[in-house]
Amino acid sequence: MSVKTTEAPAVGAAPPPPQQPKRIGRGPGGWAGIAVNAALALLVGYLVLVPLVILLYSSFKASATDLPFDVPGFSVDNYISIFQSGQLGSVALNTAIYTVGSLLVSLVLSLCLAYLFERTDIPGRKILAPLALAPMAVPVTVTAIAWAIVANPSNGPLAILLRQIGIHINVYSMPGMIMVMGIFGVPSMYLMIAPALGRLNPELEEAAATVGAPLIRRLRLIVLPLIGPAVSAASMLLVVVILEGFAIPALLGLPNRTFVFSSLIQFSLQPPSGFANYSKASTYGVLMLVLSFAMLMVYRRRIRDAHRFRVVSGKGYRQTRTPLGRWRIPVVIVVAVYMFLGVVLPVLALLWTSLSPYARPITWDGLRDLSLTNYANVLTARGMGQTMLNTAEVVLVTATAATAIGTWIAVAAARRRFRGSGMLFEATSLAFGVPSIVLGAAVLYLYLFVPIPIYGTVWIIAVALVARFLPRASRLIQTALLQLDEGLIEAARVTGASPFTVTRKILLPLLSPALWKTWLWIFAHALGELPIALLLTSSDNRTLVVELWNTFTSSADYPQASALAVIILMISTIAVWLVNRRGAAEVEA
Amino acid sequence: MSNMSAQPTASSITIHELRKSYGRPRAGDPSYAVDGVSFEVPKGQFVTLLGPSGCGKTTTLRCLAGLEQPDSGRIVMAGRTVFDAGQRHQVRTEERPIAMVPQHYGIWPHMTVLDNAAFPLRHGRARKGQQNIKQRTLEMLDQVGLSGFADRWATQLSGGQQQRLALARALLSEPEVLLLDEPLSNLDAKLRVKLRMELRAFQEQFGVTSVYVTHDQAEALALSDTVVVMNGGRIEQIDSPERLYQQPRTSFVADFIGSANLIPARHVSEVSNGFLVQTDLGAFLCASRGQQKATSSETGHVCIRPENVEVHPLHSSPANVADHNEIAGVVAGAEFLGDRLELLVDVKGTRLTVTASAGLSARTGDPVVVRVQPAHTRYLAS
Ligand SMILES: Nc1ncnc2c1ncn2[C@@H]1O[C@H](COP(=O)(O)OP(=O)(O)OP(=O)(O)O)[C@@H](O)[C@H]1O
Ligand SMILES: [Mg+2]
Repeated sequence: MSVKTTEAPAVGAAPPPPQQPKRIGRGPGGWAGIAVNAALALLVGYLVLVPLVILLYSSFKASATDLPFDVPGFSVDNYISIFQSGQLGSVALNTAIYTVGSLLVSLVLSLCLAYLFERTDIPGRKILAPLALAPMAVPVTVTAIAWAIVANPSNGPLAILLRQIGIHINVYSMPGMIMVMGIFGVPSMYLMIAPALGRLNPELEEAAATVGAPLIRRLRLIVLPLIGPAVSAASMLLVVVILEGFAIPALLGLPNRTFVFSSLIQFSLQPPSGFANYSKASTYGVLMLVLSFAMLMVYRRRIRDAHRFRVVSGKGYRQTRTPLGRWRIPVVIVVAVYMFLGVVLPVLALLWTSLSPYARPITWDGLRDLSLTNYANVLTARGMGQTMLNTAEVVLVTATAATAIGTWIAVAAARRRFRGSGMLFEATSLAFGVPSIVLGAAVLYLYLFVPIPIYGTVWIIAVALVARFLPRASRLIQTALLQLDEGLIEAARVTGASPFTVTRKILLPLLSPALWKTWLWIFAHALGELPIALLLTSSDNRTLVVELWNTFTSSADYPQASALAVIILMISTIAVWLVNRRGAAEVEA
Repeated sequence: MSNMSAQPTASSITIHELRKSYGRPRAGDPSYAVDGVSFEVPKGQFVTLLGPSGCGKTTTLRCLAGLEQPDSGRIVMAGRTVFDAGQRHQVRTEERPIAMVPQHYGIWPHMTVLDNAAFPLRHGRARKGQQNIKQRTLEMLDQVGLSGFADRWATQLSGGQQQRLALARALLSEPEVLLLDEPLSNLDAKLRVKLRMELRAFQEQFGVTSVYVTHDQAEALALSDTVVVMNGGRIEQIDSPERLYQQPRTSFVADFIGSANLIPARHVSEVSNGFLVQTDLGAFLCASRGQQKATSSETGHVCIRPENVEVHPLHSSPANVADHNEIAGVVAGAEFLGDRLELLVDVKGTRLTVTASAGLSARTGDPVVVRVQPAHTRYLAS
């Protein structure tokens, strides 16, 4: 090529060395990538599939107390006996009531809050709207314990408060479980509904107002149908979460023996007295798995259809808010009271109890003997150092491994470079439908019967938690990838940088906020994840959340349990705060 | 244009019968984004792909870069076949001797200006054995007028500066072929004119073969050695800017490049000195013609450029000049543009746009005579 004289380096001075053109669609490193994919497929299979197969296998081994591997032959006796026993009916009914009830509570609360905060001129939304989301930072186990403390019939502050106006509440009951789960579900539901309401063109509602339709009719006839897809998607996702939720039904339902599927499985495996009933647990586990998958399939179908009737447009409309008129003040009072009772009071009661010498109502007099004794006791208890260390190991390993594997899976699927990448991604997202109690039980079975020496170590918990959080990790990273400007990657590819360099120098740095966010998200959730840690626990691998469970259920030491809960809550809050702070920084940048 | 004896010494790029569909062609989807495109780019030349939005320019460029895989065709670049559907081989993007300035510049926000520009030297295909990377990068930044910005974050640059950074980065990778996809489209009009001159100056200075995509005809005419006009995935014409303007082959090109009066033909007959074309406005003698063969004797257009038309007031019209096409009409509108006057002349219900000297005194309603030389009257069969 002709080169003109310049003081700059000569352009194209040497032609590139002749190279053999490659076959279409595969380059060097392609085989290495496929190998990594295959390895990950094996790993995901090993983490999720193998345990589930063993669970299924065990459910066909009829025996009440023997280990399933010791039983010869196969039979469907387990299923027959379960279907013949009255227990299945009552557990299924309980589960249904609990699920539908909690869903309704969440739905009504989050719809009201989202409409009020997004569409009306309710005062104080700058403070109230974030408060509605604040419970996201509270792990579900901590929530359950906080409610047990605030609303237990003997000395819960809320129970005492309501007793003065003639209302008797008992959190250890089905309505109690429903209320707590319902309130717990509000933030995640709100997060899915509020954007849909925010994007809704106000003109659609105004058009109905101009023909004289009153507010309630406008809501029913215009607003609800338009946000329908978002609401139903959010509902189905919440049903999966309620169904697999363990801490609330276990902590609040066990005292009066109100079982749902998840708590029954744990109860069968770890009865307070007597022997574990493996076949019953595995059979219920299989039933629960089927149920959860069915829900997930409906949800995925629903999501796919939702695109078709999307009326809601994303354009920046002039934000006009529906005036509440003379209802403004009463409405804000009701909302504020709800926020206080539903969000602030449980945490307050938890703090109060953790600083008190014994469980007692919140009083002025009580202020005098508040102390940090419980914290001191908890932190200096024998074995606490080991527990802390275990927790740190589990949580850090889980967050790091799940983020790393999830990144590979999401990036490979998005870039479609290696064979099998798409399938791998789909496989992990199916793992999303495995309830954590079932996953925990399945992993327990696997290691009970296959002599791999990690049972009883922190690694078994980490392995199960990685399997649990992998779908979430790859989903979160995929979302970030979709928002990434493809042009930035192409600009690097045309310089001739190798795919590895492009990934390392351009893709990962651009993704780093999302990676960090994913890591923190998993960190916070792994910390509070009870069922897996509980099922896989032994003397050497206790974690904080198991310690919390034991303190609360076995020794019933409310103040010490509260202190533990507050410690978990603080760590989790810091992580969630960091996630959100980074989110805010991205918006500003 | 489709001379396929690829001579690597003469041509830097040869594209042969390139086809690309985003649908699935086997499922009977006949719509090709790029449909049988062939052209050559001689070494060191600046070639522009020009056409309306959605005509397949970007797709062609991305096929050249290897970012899209064509369905069929062949691409030879710097003497080496980089894509051949027949033999099923494709050289990957990172191994093609190219550099690219994408439409949105592709400036990496997590790097400084210097790191952005030095990326090809540090990590690109010519990374081995590079020395004085920093110094050379700084020299290049100096050349594009960014010497003071080397340590800034890339996001702190203005649009025009980002464009120059993208150009510096592309030039530093020492490409055989420089691909540019509407690099000026995000800028305001003044900057666009300034930067396109700079761009051409750089291209000549470095002598790099360039393929430039734009939908702005002024840009294409100002910058290019050769313009490839595309429409609906196909090539309409490949020519130098002058010839493209003066001798459009099709009515699409005539209309797209500059402005043209296109008068539908009713009947065409060949005569000794050209074509005699009957239209609703009367007969035109066309000494110049577009495509070689008229597909049928009754289709096509007569093409007249506004500036090739003489306008005279009816009463002071000079005596009829032999062989000139001449028609009478009425001024339907006049627009004063400073140096000239743009008139709309109504002839039997059809409006012609003509350019007259600013001195002409013509008012709406004045009868005028419009006259065009046969040499400037062009018959376009399609
Ligand atoms: N990724 C894609 N998927 C499907 N169709 C595409 C895709 N990219 C382009 N097309 C279609 O291919 C055709 C050609 O697109 P292309 O981007 O090449 O046009 P263009 O000439 O660059 O237009 P513009 O001037 O607007 O950039 C268009 O009809 C477009 O809709
Ligand atoms: Mg384009």
